[in-house]
Amino acid sequence: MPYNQRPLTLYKGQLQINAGYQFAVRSKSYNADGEKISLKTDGSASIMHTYIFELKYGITDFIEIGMNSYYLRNGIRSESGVTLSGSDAVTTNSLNEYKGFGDLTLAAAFRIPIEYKSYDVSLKGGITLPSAEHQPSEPTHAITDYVSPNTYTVNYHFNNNNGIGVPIYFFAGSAKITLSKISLEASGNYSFPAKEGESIRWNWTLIGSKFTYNSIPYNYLPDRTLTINGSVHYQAAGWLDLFLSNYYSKTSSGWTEYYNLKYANPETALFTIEPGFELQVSPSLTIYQYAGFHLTGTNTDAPFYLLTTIRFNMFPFWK
Amino acid sequence: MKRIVNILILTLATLVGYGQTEKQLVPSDLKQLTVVTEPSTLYKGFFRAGTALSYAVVDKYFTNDRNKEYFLNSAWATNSGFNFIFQYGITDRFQVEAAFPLASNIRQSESRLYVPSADTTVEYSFTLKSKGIGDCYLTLKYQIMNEKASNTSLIGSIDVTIPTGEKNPTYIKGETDYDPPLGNGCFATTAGLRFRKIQYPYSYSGYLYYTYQLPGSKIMDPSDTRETEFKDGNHLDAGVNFSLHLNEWIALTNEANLYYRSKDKIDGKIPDYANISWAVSYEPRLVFQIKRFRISEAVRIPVFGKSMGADPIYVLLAQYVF
Repeated sequence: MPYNQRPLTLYKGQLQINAGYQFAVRSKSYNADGEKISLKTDGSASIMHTYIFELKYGITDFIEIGMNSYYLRNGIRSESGVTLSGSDAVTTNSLNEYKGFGDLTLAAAFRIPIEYKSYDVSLKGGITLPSAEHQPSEPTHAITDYVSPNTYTVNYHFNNNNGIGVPIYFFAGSAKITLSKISLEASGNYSFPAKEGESIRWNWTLIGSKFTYNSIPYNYLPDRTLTINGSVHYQAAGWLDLFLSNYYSKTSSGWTEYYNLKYANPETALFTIEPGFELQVSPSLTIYQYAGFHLTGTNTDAPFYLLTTIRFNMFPFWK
Repeated sequence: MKRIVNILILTLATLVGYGQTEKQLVPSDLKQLTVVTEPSTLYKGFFRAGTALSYAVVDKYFTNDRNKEYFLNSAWATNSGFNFIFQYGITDRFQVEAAFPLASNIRQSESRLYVPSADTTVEYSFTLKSKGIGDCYLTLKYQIMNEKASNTSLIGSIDVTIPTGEKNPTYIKGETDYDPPLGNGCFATTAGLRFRKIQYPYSYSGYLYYTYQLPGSKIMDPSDTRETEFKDGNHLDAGVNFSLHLNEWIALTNEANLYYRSKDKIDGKIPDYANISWAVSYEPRLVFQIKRFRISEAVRIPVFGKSMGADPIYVLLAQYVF
């Protein structure tokens, strides 16, 4: 079904499977004043690979349920350091690796119970369950290039997981209006944590060339997040929808404990535009792709990304 | 009665004749064949021109123990470029191809030097950039087994890599201030076979290529004052490909590739640090055929390997048949 002819939720009995891959180049970020910082010159630019899975089902023509999750891999290097002492040199490299599944999100959406012709409104709510590991795994630091007790390389390797650690509730609203080949869509989403979480930090001791580790617990509260999204679509042909989205997100109210004191997380904001297309390959198969360019922001990373998704639609229980 | 029978026979003959009529492809149709249905070599007189944009970030590598690891030094390196490809069908079975790459490689390194005795910290960074033409290649392809009869082909190919790219570092002002070379500095020749079967809406193929690297000489390190003799390891490329039409003008191709490279030689000897390297990669590709215009997007993902880079390469290809 072309984008300009379909409602905001699935039809009764419709099963939709989305499988996506996002390639992101994390090469800049914004500081607290909204100034752009090059992570390349900061020595910490990195690449993110995200695999996204989503399953949705239409209970009726007006009610839809769904679930989604992702798998993310990202290795963030920090600026290498060399401590020189006479002819001795100790080099330190540091890698923060994020690897693993993200949490599982369950959602239900309702739309106004009228046949879709030119406008639609929907409400959505759900929960992100802490299904993925949140606490960081034990680091795997190592000594390499050992020449003498005072000349060697220390490779710090921190192993992080992608779970949030506590349930996150969210609710959202969307509206869509179609004027022939042009459609406009707007949506807003607000998410907030159900409770405080507990995590650990790893400390380590180096004796000879052997590291020993111990963990220290701390409490935290994930941020509340508001996202607002607007998009304009042009149905160039029955099989091709071109769109330009903009995306604004803002986080606040989270905190993290250090030495038994709670410190507020920096509030972040990010404004992104996403040009893209949706291609109807066959009645059951759709491909869509868009790129993300960040225009402004504060206190946050701003990776360029390219997302490609293959979408299967079917009516498995229809005879 | 006889007249009725004659009419019936004539009618049936017409129907049979109509049923056996094959759609005749005119040249403009032939130029619009997809990656699944097109022949293995271009038709006589057809000319195809295109460019492939590639982009890769240096992030991970396969260790000698076949583990995939991150590079630990704080550095940012990208390899990108355009490869301009021109193909021409000399006969329906014989094709020539030439490729001229324009490459742009950047390597940026950031580190911090701390001298406790002087209580001094120095930020140390450098950027190495190189842009320009890389090594070109010329390929001859011939359909040993003609595809026309059975939609099955066996293609033999010979490829020569010409070291047109700069082989030595240039604008050397210091160990970390120079333009790295874009060329490999030696000739190479590749010979191989590709078997292909079209079974609409699918096509299958398998290939095996062997590349022999000729010896050469170049400056290995910017501080060197003379060129060093070298011979890169010969390599083998083998793979299988399965392509299918998603609709009449979009095809999905899937390729599994094995790359194997023998040890390099320096000054006629194999250095102690030299390794055999290999990788198994998977490359999905979406190919859009819009009339004579073709756009494809592919990602080559190294899955397993040893002693070589493990980063995905993104390729966007645009081609047109004249």
